[in-house]
Amino acid sequence: MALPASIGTLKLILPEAVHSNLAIIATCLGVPAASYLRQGLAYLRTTKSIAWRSGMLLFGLMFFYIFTLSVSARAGISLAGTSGLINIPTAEVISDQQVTIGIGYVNRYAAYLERGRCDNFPFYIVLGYLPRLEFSAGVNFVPGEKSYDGTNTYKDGVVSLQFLLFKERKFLPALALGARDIYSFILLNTSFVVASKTIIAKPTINWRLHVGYGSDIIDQHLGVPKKDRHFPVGHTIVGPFGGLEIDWKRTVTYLLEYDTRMINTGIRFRWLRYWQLDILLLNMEYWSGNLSWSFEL
Amino acid sequence: MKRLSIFVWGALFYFSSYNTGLTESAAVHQINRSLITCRDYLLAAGLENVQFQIARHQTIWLSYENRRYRNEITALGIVLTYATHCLPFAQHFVVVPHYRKMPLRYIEVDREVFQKFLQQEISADDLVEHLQISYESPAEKPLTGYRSSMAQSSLFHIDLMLSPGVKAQFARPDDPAQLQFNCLADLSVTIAPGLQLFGQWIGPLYNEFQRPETNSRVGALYLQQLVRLPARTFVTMSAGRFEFDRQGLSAQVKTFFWRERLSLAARGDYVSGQAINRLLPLELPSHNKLSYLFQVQYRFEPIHFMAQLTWGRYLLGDQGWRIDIVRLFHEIELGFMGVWNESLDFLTGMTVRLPLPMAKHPWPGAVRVRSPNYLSWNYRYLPCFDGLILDTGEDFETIARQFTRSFIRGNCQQFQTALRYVRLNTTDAHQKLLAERGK
Repeated sequence: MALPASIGTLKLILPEAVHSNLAIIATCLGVPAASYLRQGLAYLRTTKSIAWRSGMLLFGLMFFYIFTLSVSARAGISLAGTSGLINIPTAEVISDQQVTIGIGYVNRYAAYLERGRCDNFPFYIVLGYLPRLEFSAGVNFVPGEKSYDGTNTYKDGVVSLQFLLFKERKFLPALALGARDIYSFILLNTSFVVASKTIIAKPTINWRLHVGYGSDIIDQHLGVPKKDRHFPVGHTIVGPFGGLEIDWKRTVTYLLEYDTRMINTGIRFRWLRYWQLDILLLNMEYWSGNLSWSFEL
Repeated sequence: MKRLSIFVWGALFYFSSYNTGLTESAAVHQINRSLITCRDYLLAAGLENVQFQIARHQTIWLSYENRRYRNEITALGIVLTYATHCLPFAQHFVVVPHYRKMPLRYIEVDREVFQKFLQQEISADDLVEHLQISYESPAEKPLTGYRSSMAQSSLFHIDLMLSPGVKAQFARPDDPAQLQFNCLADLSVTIAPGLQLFGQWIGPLYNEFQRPETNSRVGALYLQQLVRLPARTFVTMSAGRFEFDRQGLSAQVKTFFWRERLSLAARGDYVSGQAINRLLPLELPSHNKLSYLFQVQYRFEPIHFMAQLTWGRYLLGDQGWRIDIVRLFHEIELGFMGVWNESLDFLTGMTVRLPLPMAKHPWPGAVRVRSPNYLSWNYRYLPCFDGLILDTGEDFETIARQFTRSFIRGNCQQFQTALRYVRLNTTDAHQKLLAERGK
């Protein structure tokens, strides 16, 4: 079976491994699914080696699985690996049974860890553990800073919880409580309450306002040897914070926030319903980014 | 002989409640054929301890034990599908899944409801709402003497299970990551109703923990007896070697109440030996101790979520509180635990249990080699000994919790999976009976 012209042209310039998966990937992209899948499988039949065919089929099926089993991510994920804008939390949680995996890049001049010296790369997994309760765990990688394990990349574990107390009503905002970095050696802690309200709701454009307050009431390290318990705790968002998001068709969102230290802005792209890419300008100056992918258990 | 016994109680069933308009002998013959067909189908599906019993009001009790399908809902779907197709004269089913040849749960469902579900007239949620699930036997008991013999017994059938064993400890100050990979060979055999012999051999593949764990060894060898008492109460008694060089006795009593959402348990263990815990990398001191624990557990019905609070003296003599929460996402289990006691502020850990791809195991013959249903991994944030509970293997609740509304709701697609395993022969007697009833 002949491949469509566009894919056939690509065959000339792309490695075979990439090309043979295009049809299957095209399926994932939502274009004529069955047709492209058939063509992808037909193309696999034309290749020579059984091992190659099997490998390509497996690779394609993996893509197919990843894309088709995913769900829409209602809540945006912040750089801290919890529902939020850029740094600040919002009164949202990801849906029950949803998992979001992501990685961010924080420019060294806007980073919370080793500011001015090292870029931060937060890696996180967020889980809708219960309805309205979001559990997040992650590691902040700080390349260039010596670690306790002898490597040249410092690693800081982060565990966070966020609970949606009230959903948004017609005249009442949604309200959420949460705490970030609450266990083990705490460097990026904040305990917060945040309210979110849609102020303009139109079919294509939504304006949403977020206002909250972050506290430093957690002043001891939990789950560490007693000698380390009273070592100073690091806090991130302490005081009033707020933000605004302007959302266009739940595809492109403009973000603006004040996180008690900086004013940040950025654009959030959502595509295929389950991918999220944030292109950010922290402190209105330093380029950063955040990429995440969601699926349902 | 079995055919004869089924014939007799089939005839009695007919005389008690069934009226087809056929002559008596013809109807009895057809009912008998249908019951035998249904039994043969269930046996062919690899189910064990299959038994039929008759109760009033056109009710059939179906007992079975599933050791073939990973998910109990698959087996339940197979049983109900065959029963719905093969036994048109029954209007009500009481399905009794067994565990170690002992009745575990009682699930009541109307034939018409399940048939509507099969014909996609009602949703899985509607089906679940119509199910009556209990540890307690329904008030309407089967008629005395109206039962078939148990076909395809599960007794003395040996299961040899090969599985990977993974142990890890991260972020220790002296060693950022310690890993261990073992090959585990588990042997289990039910030798009497409720009584199981379990043995485990551990073959080390890669070890960064203590030296003794580098040797091949017997991981466990014990006998465990499960006893059902009235009023939703279960007693489990174990004796033997439970973990590496840790032998002794263990007994637990657990009772369920408040619509079976709340349970109370008391447990006592007496173990001795110099133990090396499976979870932890450190060599533990010799001990010869009695531990006792009291547990209260609540199971949330709308979602599959359980919370358990434990207090008492733990395996290594420490005393304090422990909380465990477990959430099931379809078949994936994710749990967290926290321990508080005098010496420790707050210790946390997590448990992950992932289903393995094998949904159907080989035929449960005299000896069978199979893969495990799930891969479990326990992790403690700090290598501390606190809050340890003796591991006495899989208990009845692991199976029983699959027969809850929340689990069935989350795994209702398994009913569709069950249809893949159902092989109905259209020339069978029950089909003729269906056709005649249609006339």
